Amino acid sequence: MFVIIVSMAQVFAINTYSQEIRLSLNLKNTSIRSVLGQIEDQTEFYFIYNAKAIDVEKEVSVNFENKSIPEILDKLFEGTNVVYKIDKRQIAISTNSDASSIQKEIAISGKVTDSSEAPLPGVSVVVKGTTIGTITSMDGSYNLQKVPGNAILVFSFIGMETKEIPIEGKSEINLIMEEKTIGIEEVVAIGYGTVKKRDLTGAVASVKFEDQLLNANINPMQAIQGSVPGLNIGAVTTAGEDPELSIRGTTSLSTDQSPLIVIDGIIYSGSLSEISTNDIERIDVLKDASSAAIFGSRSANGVILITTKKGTSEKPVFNFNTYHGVQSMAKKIEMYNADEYVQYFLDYRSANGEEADPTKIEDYLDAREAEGYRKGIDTNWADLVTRKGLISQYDLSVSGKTKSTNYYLSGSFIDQQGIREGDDFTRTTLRANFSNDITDWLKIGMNVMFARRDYSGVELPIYGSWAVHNSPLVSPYDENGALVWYPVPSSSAKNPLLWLNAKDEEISTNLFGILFADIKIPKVTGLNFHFDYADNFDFSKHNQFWPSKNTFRGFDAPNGYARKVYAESRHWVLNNILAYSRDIDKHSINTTILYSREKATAESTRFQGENFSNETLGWNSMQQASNLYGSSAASDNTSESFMARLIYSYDTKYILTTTFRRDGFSGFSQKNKYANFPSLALGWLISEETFTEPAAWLNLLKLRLSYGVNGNQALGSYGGLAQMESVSYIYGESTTIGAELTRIGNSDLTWEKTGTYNVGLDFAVLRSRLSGEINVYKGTTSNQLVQRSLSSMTGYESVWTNLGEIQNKGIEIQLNSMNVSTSDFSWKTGVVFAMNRNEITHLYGTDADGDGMEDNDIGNSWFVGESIGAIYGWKTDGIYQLDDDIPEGFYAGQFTVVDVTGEGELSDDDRTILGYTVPNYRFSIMNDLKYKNISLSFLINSVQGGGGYYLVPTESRSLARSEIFNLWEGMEYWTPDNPTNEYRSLQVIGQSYSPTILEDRSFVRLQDVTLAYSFGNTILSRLGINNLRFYVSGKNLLTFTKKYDESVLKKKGYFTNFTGRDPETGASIRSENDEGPVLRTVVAGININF
Amino acid sequence: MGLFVIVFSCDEAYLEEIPKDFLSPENAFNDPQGFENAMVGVYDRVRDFWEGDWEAYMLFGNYTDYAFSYNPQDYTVQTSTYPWSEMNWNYAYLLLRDAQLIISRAENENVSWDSETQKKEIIAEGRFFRAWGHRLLAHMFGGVPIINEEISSPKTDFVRSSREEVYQFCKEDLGYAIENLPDAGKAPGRVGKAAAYHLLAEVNLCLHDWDGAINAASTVINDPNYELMTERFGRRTDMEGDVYWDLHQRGNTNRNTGNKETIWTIQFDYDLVGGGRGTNWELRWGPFLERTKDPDGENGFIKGENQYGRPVGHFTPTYWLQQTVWEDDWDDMRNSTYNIRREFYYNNPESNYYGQKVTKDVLIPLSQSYRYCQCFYMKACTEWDHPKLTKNDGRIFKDVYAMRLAETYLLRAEAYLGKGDKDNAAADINVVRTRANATSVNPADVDMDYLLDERARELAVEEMRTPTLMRLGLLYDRVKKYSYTLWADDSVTPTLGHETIQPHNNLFPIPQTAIDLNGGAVLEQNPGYD
Repeated sequence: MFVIIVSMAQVFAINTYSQEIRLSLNLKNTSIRSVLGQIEDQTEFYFIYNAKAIDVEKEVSVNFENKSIPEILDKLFEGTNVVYKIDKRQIAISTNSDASSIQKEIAISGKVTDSSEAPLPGVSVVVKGTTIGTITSMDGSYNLQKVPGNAILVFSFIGMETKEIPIEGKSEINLIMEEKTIGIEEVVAIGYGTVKKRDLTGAVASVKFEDQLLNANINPMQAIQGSVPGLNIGAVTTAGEDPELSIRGTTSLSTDQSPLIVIDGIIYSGSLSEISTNDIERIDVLKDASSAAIFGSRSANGVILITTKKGTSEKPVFNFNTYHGVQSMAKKIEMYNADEYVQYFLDYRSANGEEADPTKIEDYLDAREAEGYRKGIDTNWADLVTRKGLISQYDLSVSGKTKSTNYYLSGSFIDQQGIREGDDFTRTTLRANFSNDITDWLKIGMNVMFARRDYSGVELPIYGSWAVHNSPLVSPYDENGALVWYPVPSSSAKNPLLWLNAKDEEISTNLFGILFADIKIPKVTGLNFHFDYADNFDFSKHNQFWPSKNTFRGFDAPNGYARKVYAESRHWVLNNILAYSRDIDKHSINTTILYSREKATAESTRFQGENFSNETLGWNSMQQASNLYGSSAASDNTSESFMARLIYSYDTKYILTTTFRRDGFSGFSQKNKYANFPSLALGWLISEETFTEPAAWLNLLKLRLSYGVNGNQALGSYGGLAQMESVSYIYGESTTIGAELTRIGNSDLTWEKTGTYNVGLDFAVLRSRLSGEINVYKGTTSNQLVQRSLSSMTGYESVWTNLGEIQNKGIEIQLNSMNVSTSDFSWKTGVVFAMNRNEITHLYGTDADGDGMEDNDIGNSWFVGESIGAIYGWKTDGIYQLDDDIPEGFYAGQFTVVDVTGEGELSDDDRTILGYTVPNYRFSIMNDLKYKNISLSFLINSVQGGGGYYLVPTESRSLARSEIFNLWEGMEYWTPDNPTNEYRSLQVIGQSYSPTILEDRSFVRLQDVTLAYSFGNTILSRLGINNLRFYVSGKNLLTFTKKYDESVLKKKGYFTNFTGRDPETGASIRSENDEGPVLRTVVAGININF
Repeated sequence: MGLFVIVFSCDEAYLEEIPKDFLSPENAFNDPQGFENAMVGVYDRVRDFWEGDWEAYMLFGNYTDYAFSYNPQDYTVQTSTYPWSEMNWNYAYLLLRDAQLIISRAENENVSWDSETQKKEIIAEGRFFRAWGHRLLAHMFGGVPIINEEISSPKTDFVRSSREEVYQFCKEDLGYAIENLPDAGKAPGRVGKAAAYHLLAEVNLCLHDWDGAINAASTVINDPNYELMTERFGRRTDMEGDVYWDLHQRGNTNRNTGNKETIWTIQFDYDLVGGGRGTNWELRWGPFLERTKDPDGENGFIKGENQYGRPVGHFTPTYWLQQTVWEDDWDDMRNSTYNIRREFYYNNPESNYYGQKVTKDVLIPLSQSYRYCQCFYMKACTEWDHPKLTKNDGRIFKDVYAMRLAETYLLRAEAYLGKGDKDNAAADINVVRTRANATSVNPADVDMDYLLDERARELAVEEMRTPTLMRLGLLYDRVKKYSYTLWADDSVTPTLGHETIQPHNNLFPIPQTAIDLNGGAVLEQNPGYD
């Protein structure tokens, strides 16, 4: 028996409904099928019938006025053997003969396998439109009792195509599920619309958010680190931090590298840390110029499209996820202990020709140190300011859809402690995504997000002149228990605990709402109008109070110091999108036209007070301060955009995509308010051609070619205007506020433009068990926005101008492989590789030194023909040893300086390009293993130098006594007895020329590991739970660097002897920057889905 | 769906940029108030020359006949990348930029002036400062590029005009300024006609227009509103002192305090917004008492007390400025113990010598120059007037004279001397000396050296000594003649400046950055600096 279920609806039990509802229908020469359809549209009823038994194609003409359903049906089937039965909202129609069997409940069983005929456990089998269902057992079998004989079974499993099979009275249904790995029918977001992957012509990478949820990633970008070739995501060192992002290479000398973020079709101006990872359905990354050109003037750094979740099933799905764990430093800060410090200090003295008699150490030390030495004090300052932080997260969501409504509601809460005292972060997010089909031509929806981020707390400082510069021989407290300002009075190092008593409140609140409407234009098939209005409102406050006692500020603010900063910003976007798509024979056309407007406004108020008459109330009572200062700022900018896109495909083999965008931006000069960004891309599905058919192993082969132009407007508001700043003077005894011109305008200022070619190849072979994508690109960015220095006679230091040109080229490879797939065990691997080279091809176009070549900008380390990340300086090849021929101005134990020019004398000319800060290449490997109920996934991420790439200048330690540098960190030093060729001596005297010491920061990192256990289905289904998982997950557990040294490993227990804080952030050991080591996270969690 | 708008024309108005939290020249120069605002910037720029830190070394006589640094300066390091001459070059061009902006924009038809006079006054004030800046550049560097139009695009083709052309340009500006400036400045600290005449006198001297200089100076001297102060006045008349001391007391420098000698004063105040950063004269010119030990070897002084603030002795007066220049008439009022202090008394209560005078034999073992107890020109100090909030950073906040009638007399004397009229030159010098109760000079003894000596007696610390010597081409001569160190044991040795100065140091080098960034034309370097 073949049964079509025409439509579904929720089950409300009102028996009298069928009597009460009244309908009017007037239809001529139409089928019974459409009459029933009309009734379904106008009421909440749905029909079940056997199309073979009942002639629903029969043409009838009906005219009902205000009739009840039984009246209509009686009339409709008058004179036939058709009977009907109304049960709640369901109306079963049958002939007299089969009326009983259609309602009969039967038992059904079967077995689900994959394409290799291996059993598939865990497949969800649900009776469509109901909550009845089960999950396949270990051998792939399932068994359902009391199923209506006319029902449809829905089989779904992650990574497989969902199948719907009508039961038709059968008692056994076996199914082979097909893998989704090719995914060419998958829909990909491309900006202002979607396209099937099959029709994609640009380089767009997609990440679906599934198991990412099981890692402790506060920021959604951390969750996809290493999964998209060419998308570079930085490491995070503090709680709630946004990682640095870039796509492909650096295209700009001066401006920001951050890609454009688009959420649910709306250009997003907020922070990514406002978005809960759990709310994300997928992320699509527009990498090549032709794809990104759709976003015109802001697309030069690539575009990241985030799509949030929707309801996917009629059955409401609740999802609850929570994890709890610990955060620590991926690399511990190692300081000298008292003994090591004393030894270091003696070595320091002897290196400088001072007496170094261990028995007289107390005479050499500062008096306070000497006292501590006698008392046996051994303070570890790094331990004092750092901690093991706790992290916990709770997410709850519910989603579902009904016939006309789709909803997704969620809330999440995160509490994260960084690795230093005071680095605290909590976040609350709420999201409601709703859409409703108001009529069959109008759909209206709203996606609303609320986020509150709380960064309150003053992080204790580690670097600079704080923790790392303090002596282990002294305590942070004096004999009365009060904090000491300068723990070693003769040194400039301050007590980091002075920040402990500062009060700090830093909270930002964000509300982001999108209202949208979709209109199917009547009478024109395929014409659709979409409208968005989005408003993003952000409010932040930052209040601080330093009491006079025991705080850092207390030093120069004897009676307390307070600061109150309020800032708010708003960004609205209005999109009007007209889309038309039509398939005529083998031609398929998809066009999109956009008109968009935007406005961003921001303002802030800053208020400072000093000298409080009473410190109790802090920033809440600024009137207590006798000195008050205030300032405020405000800015706005507007944009206007037009866009048109055509996607044309012929015979599903040949695809052409062309876009044109025209952008206007207020921040550019009057002469250049608008610019145009065209693109063209071609795709050829070679595997669809008849000549490839014999190759059965080839499932997909697609060639893509594209060219596009992207812009960069990152200069921001008012960049082209001359600017005056306020200035004040006194005439006699009266203050006069005035203004002076501080910045020269440039009425010619325009966008940076990048034109990029991309060649791509997509393939899938061996029944799609191995698939992948290769992209090769080359781009040129001209009109570089740079601040060009001006001669002092102009009265200005510099002016923003468009000069110079940068070239980027690279290759990106992504491979996905299903290595093993059996009933008990599966193993998937993903490999990502990216390599980029950039080169400055032109700078200022000047040749002042007259050497016939364009001048470099040594001050900025910009060299024509070299990468932006060039490192320029004197070169060293080791350490001058005692028996070396040491040139004048140098001493044994100092770094050698190579006479590059060979002139026999050192000078500025001996400086050369020593290497590059940018990586040689990056790769990552993802592995997913499943054995029965246990799954393990791990991601290895790596950035590699080699050939002089990915180096970081690392300074040798400063040796002034006033600046004790007290870090162990693998820093040896040269002594006559330890003639190392790597570290210099402790001699204070400087050398005539200081070479730049470089360190390779290539690393391989075990970045994410997750081990999960899913409970057996039998227990769960009895509890009405779809899935219950326990998991443990770790981040940044191991890091290996190139200079791997076993002795270091043994001594300090970690795998890297990169001397800096972390090879990825590149912070060198001596940097004044207070950026700490990368966070390591280990959590355990539970995930319930019901 | 009324929001469905597809507009295929560009909406320029929608993209218009209106600055919200800053002024731009487009919205700042629409009414007289905008020009007044910009003028505040000009005065603030001028003040930079006094507020400057190390760069002020270069202008107020360090490394000249006045003083040397404890860190003895070697004139051979004065190359085109030498930062201090570059800083003063940059200050001057910043001032010219701001003054020019006012001059150019005032002619804009859209400005709603209350009256033509108002407009001319503003332009006149702008042109005064354009002249002031250009003439200072010409003193220091010789011929320089002239700024006579607003620079609104990245100009790279500046060329040097001759020194004479620059002075001539200043003369024209001052002609306009004299005609249109109000008689007295609009407010204390602002320039009026007299300042323009005074400056014109100096510019005419540079052009060797002796009569022009005499006329300009005479206009001020003959103006009944201006006269040398001869009687005690101001806020400290209840204390012991003399009129010259009164002239340099904080609060006594503006005309509204009864001071009729002042022509133009740079304004400072520590408790008013806009009061500036102060000068670091005290830090520079004062003796480094803090380092002076008592005969027991203990600290004899504690710093930061009301009397002297925080002197560090960065400028050590030459032997000539400490001794020689006063030897003719030690009783000159300007050499009184009120005005120059040579004796110091231990002020550390913990010292056994508290209250006792420092004796030279204590200083000799220090093997330094006389820096720890060098003589203290008290006009570089604000005794009893140290601000509390700025602690002991050595800065002082009292107005300083940019122009004072005593200098106008000396300028006229210089003009008479140029003309060969020594009688009148001596007469003018004697007006100044008479006020100081000093013996009159014999016309026969008046020459340029004498005049420079007299300027030192009257104007040391106040005067931009270095540009004065440079405009006369006498920096080299004076350093060779007078740059000697006085040691605590009364011995005298030449300073490193004396040893290393060469004639080409009479001008500063053109800054290398100015040359390098001027790609469109060649900016010639001064001779001797290649």
